[in-house]
Amino acid sequence: MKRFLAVTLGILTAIGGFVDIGDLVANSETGARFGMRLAWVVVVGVIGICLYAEMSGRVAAVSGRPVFDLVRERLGARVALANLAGSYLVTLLTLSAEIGGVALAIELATSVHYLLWVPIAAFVLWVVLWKVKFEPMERVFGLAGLALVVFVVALIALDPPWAQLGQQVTSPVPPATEDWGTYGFFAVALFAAAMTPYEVFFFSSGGVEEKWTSRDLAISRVNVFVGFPLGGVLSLAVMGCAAVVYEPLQAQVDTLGQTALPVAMALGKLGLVVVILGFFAATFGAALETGLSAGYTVAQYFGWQWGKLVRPRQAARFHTVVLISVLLGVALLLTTADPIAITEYSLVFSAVALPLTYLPILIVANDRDYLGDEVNSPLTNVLGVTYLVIILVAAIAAVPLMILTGMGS
Amino acid sequence: MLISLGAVLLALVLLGVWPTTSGQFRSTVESSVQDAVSSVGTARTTGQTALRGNTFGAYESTVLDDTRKSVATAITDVVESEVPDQDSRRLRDEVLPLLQESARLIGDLGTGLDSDDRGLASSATDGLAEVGERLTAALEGLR
Amino acid sequence: MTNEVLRVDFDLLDRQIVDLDGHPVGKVDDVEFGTTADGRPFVAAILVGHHALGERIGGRLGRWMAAVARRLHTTGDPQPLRIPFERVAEIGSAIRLDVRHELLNTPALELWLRDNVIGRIPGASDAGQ
Repeated sequence: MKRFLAVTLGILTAIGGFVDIGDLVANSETGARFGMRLAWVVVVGVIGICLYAEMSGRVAAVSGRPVFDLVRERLGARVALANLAGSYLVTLLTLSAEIGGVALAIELATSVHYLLWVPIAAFVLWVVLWKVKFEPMERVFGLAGLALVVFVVALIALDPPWAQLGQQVTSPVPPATEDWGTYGFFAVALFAAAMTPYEVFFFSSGGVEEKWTSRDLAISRVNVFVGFPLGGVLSLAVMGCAAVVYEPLQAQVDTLGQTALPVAMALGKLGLVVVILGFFAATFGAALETGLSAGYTVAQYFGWQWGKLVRPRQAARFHTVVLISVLLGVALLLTTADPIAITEYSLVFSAVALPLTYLPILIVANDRDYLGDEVNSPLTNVLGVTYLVIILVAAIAAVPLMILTGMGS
Repeated sequence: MLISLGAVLLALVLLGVWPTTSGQFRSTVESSVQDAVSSVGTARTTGQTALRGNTFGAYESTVLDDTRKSVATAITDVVESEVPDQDSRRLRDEVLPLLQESARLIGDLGTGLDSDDRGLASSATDGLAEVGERLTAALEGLR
Repeated sequence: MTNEVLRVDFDLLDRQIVDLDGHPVGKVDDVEFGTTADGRPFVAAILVGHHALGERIGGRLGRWMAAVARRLHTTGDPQPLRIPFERVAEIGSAIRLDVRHELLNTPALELWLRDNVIGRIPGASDAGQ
């Protein structure tokens, strides 16, 4: 049991990357409009995040230093400051969207307008960030997020035309109703979602919070190779459910309620209850992840005391950043900005910021001063460089595609 | 610097007040019809699922609220657009009744489910299936 | 690393500083040079603080950062935290000092936020994990 619980950090991290509020809706939207023709992007993303999360977990375990710490050392104070600004903005936007997502999940269960839930959700979130210790927090929300496995069950219960879905998977071209522009835009958004920078910040900082040492390398790897592929499977299941239900209707998906509908169709009331609980856990977990990551990035850039291992008054600057971030997130939502649109924008900005996050990780993972004999193997380096090229292409293409397609509409 | 900024601003203003062309009108209609297709499909599926007893009240009303608002926006977009020529007028007259029919049926479905009136809910669901097909045909014609 | 040449830009600047027990103290935001009697330069101290960082980054942003840091103080004229180089015990993935962080001056911003914001919230002194 203890061994099983050791992977909850990876699961919670992956939930933030693959099935948070933006991804739940974006995966559904992708399934509805493209069937499974973009499924390959999720696979490419899972491999990429596994590769780089493994490196950052290894760096954290061996050197005791989380990723953002090293970004500044390797990029220099000035470039790292630009990176900090970009990463913080993306993380803040996502945090805001997740708080909105928690409120939207409660709206589905109560039919009370989500804006009324926003301040309550944000307050509870802040209390958890303030009071609850890292490990129980990670376990409760990592495990509760697993309720989303209900999408896998629902997909099987819907008994879809598997041959047709399989054919879509192997034909990576846009369907007749879409063009290459929107196809490219959704591909970049899905890839950026899989590789969002706060995943590595959170994962490596979490490793430090759990006091990993070189002896915990195996735990770090199990977290990576269980958590992220699981996140990818959930994300594909959400996509598949939408493909089965909405693609034949030519309906597009832009609300959380629509994302849940296939599960209700296949599994009834109980399934619907489980899926809404899963939405709640996943968005709340992602809100914790992004809330902490906002604090981690700023504190680690400036070298402040950070984290939940010490009393809050000993990390006053860190806790202030977390508190201000939650308040800013709420303020943004109370302008009635749509939480789902917020995540879509944050994904595009995230794609632009990706190279500055992943390049230093690759450099540090080859540095014997930090890692001794645990530096990257040649194969890891070949894969790492290949992914840097992919990341660079996505970063360059993101904004032009956004403008060209009007956010993929 | 200041001159070029002024030129950009002027261009933006002109773009805003320039009369709609028939192409723009057509694309407004297309996106409205696409939104209606999505909403009608979602409402109809929700209705069928609810009639089988597979959902609960709060969920149904949240989803139907979203679809109703989306159709209302689609109608507003078409009605508020300036109609540039005869062809556009014909297009509007063809599409607008379908959109209004969708809004009415989604409203009926909500009322039916709220008040446990299975007859009303199931006839609204059937109606949505039918209007959904006509909307889809219209959408294909517009593409 | 001890038998290699120490490169200020690569091995010192921007590296994390931790105290005897591994508590973060700050980053090496700048270094102070001294000169020996025969005129050779040596690293006299490492400097920690947003003013030092702001001045090194330079440009409008750097000046702004330094100006903000100068305003955020509780007493007198704020100076960056100056740690004599003799206090450095080890340079590894972090720079480890041979003192506990309680003996160093707590940065003004931390102190102010502790006294006026975070310390006033219930539970601020509860033990961490």
